[in-house]
Amino acid sequence: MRRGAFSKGFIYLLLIAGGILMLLPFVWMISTSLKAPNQVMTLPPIWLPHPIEWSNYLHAWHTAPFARYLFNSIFVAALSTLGVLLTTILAAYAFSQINFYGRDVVFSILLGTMMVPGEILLIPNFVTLVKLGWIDHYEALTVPWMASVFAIFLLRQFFLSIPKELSYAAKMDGCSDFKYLWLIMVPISKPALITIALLQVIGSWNSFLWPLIVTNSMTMRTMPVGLMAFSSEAGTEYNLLMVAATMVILPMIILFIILQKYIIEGVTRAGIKG
Amino acid sequence: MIERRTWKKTLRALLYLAPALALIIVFDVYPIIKSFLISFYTRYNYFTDVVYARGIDNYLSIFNDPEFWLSLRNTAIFVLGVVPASICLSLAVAVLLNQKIRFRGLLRTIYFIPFVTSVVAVSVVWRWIFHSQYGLLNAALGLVGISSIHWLTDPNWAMPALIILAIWKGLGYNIVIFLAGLQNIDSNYYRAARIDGASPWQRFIHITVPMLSGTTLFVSIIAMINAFKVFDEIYALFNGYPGPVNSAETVVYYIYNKFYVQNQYGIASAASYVLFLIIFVLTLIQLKVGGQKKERTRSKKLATGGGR
Amino acid sequence: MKLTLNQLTLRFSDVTAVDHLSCTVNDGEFVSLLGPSGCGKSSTLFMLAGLYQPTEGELFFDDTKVNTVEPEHREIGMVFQNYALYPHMSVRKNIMFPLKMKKVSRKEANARAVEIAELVKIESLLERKPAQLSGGQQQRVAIARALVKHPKLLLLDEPLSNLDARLRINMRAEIKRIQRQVGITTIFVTHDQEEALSISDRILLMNQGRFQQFDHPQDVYLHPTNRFVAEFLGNPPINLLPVNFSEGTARLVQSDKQANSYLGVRPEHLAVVNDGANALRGRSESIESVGRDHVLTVAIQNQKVRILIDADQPIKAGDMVYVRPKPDRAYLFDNEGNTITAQWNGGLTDD
Repeated sequence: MRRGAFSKGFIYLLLIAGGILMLLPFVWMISTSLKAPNQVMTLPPIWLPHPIEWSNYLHAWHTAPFARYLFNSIFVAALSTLGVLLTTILAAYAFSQINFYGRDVVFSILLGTMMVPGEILLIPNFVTLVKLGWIDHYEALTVPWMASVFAIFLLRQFFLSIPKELSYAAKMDGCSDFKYLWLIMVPISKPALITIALLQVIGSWNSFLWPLIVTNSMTMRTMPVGLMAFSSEAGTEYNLLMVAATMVILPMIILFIILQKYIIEGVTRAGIKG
Repeated sequence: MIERRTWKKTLRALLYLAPALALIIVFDVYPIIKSFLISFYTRYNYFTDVVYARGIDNYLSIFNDPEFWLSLRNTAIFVLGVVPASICLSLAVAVLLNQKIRFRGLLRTIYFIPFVTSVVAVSVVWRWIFHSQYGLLNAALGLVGISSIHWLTDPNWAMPALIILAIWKGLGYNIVIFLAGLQNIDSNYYRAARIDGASPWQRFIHITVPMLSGTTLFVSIIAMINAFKVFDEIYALFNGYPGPVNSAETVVYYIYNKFYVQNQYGIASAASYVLFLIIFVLTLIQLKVGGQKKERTRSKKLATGGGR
Repeated sequence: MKLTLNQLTLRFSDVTAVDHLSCTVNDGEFVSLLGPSGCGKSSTLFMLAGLYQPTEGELFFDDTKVNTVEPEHREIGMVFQNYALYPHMSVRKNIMFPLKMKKVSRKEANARAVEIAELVKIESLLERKPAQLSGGQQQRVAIARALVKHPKLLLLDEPLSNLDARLRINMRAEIKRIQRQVGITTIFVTHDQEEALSISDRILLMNQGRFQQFDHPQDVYLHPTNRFVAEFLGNPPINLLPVNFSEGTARLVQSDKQANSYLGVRPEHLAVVNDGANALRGRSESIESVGRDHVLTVAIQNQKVRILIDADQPIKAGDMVYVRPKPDRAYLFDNEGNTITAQWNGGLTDD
């Protein structure tokens, strides 16, 4: 028994030490973001800033158009998520409820596209967007991301788990197929839809290479792109840089902590689209 | 089920599929093909989409480009540095988390947090941690008597810095997948092994590792694919440059550079197809080797009368 | 509403699920579709519902042919084996759903939902979600939802098979009560003969997609039209003895090969008697008591028969006994399983 208690203590020690290592960069980030300039570059490092410089946030906010970046990020995430939910619900319905010619072939091709690394798509998509005149417009940031094979796959699996009798019952009750989808299947699938929405929001919020390439002007930048631009300007003002990083990182951490059940579920279900 | 296929149903399905299919065809399927074609365009005006000449020159030129070979070499070092270490660490954490301990959910959450954060933003944070003079890491190393390392400016240390960041960032994802795999192992195996007098380590080696081989295969493939595609970290860690004297230039950075900075679309496409091919072949090899290993453990289990 | 099936047939690519089925169900009648699994009873029900389209034949509701009428326009209510309640809606919303689809005003829909909830005795559960209900309660909700739009036909697809034994008997009576009260024509699919025998006005027996018999419960039990019906009904099952039937007398034979027909007698229609006239001689093997019944097994040559006997009958294992069928309660079937209608004078011998 004593040996068990000892090894259990050891497990806790390892896990907590690891946990601290995982969190330390965030703690350090927030700590630095609240420091007066003379406390940033010190040896040994100062952990608790004194005084706490909340004004760093205002300062950074005014030095670069973060309000605009924030709006863009939220707007783009919201729009692409709505788009994904809509296209996914419709497509998953077709794949799970309608027996049509070529269904399995089309579905296999879609799954196949998941294997191809996104970098291959970059150049032709850029050319397409140039031709559509969408470069440096919100369309470029949202429309290409409004369909997700992974999301369709996830929701199709969920739809398939709904008993067929439910659709028969709805039919008896005088409910059309289209109404059945929106009044019955969609509400039942709320957990899967939340998972899909969250993964989409996180993916959209964090994406960098794509918005970097399809936007040119400052007014179209999203938070990560804005952060990198700010990083070139702010240079070594690490307290301000950490303010900017905090603004990019913290919203997703909060979102994750509130709704982690859905995110972990989605991630374990089939892995994130890489 | 027993419901028949009809053209009417096919038409109806197409209506439902139209929005998703249109987007996927335009932005996923077409680019896969187009990218392949572009890689053979040697003279090409992307704006008018006029091709003046085709050939394999793009492929020849990247294979004759020492920078491409350097990026391949760097990518390989990165993959080898990240994937095995990340898998071992995450498996260890997952096994520990899978014990009957308190705060399991909280700990899992903590380990997962880096995964949901922006790569660019955490890379900026790590740039500060790696700071050669006032960085947290060097301060910590100083405590144990190691003199400061120029993580981001010394070509020998740029890649290790990148690897540390990547392991930290991706650990939580692997842990969650491993935990799901561990929970699928029937606890009766452990009870039986305990009755047979197997030590915790023996139980890990003889039950956990073989029963988890499918999950490990999945995790290693995903980790490898993601490692091959590293870009955002480099861009942010070295502030838009691929490290001191290109010491952290990877293949995707090379592609980005050829495409976006130098506007050499054909070469960039050729490089991206080479990358795809490498990932594809390595995935196949992993599947094959992993499959054989599974086969072996299965026959071993059969021989000892175990297995489900 | 009167229901007429005329040569109704349903074929899937290579299987004939329902094969030229014809019958007429009267207004207000409670009819069970009974048969082993895969006999086509559910397929028949789904055709009545409009969920499957018949390949051949005609289906009439009163005098209207409804072959191609969509389910939602047939004015039917249906209850499924797994109840198929909408899990995200309260009981009240579930019951109101069909009315909402018909664009009945909220107020009226609510009033009708409450009324029907009282009929099925779930008025206190209206705000619950289906997951918070027991199986029997879910069953009642499903019936309420099926009845709330005042359909002309009620279809029940194995509604009791997910309930435990005791509840099943309660719900059986409840379904019967509700059906009587509403007076609706009802088709009830089941594979449980006891259920069908106790609940129905008439039973339609099916096997391998084909019509077997359509009659009142007592009649299908006591006057089976063929060997399948005789064998399918009854517990313990009917005794079947290979016999040679000629000139009004059935003679027991050793094997199926020598038999030109089979004699079927239910265990309760065999009696142990003292004389050998028109009786078979055998040795008592065992007596087992199944609840209040006592089942005596008798070996007659190489055949075994089971007999229901009174508890006080003084028979021990090993006794030699004579066994005689009750008059009019023994059936002769030919090798194809059809009932031999030729006059049988009860003559029976075992040598």
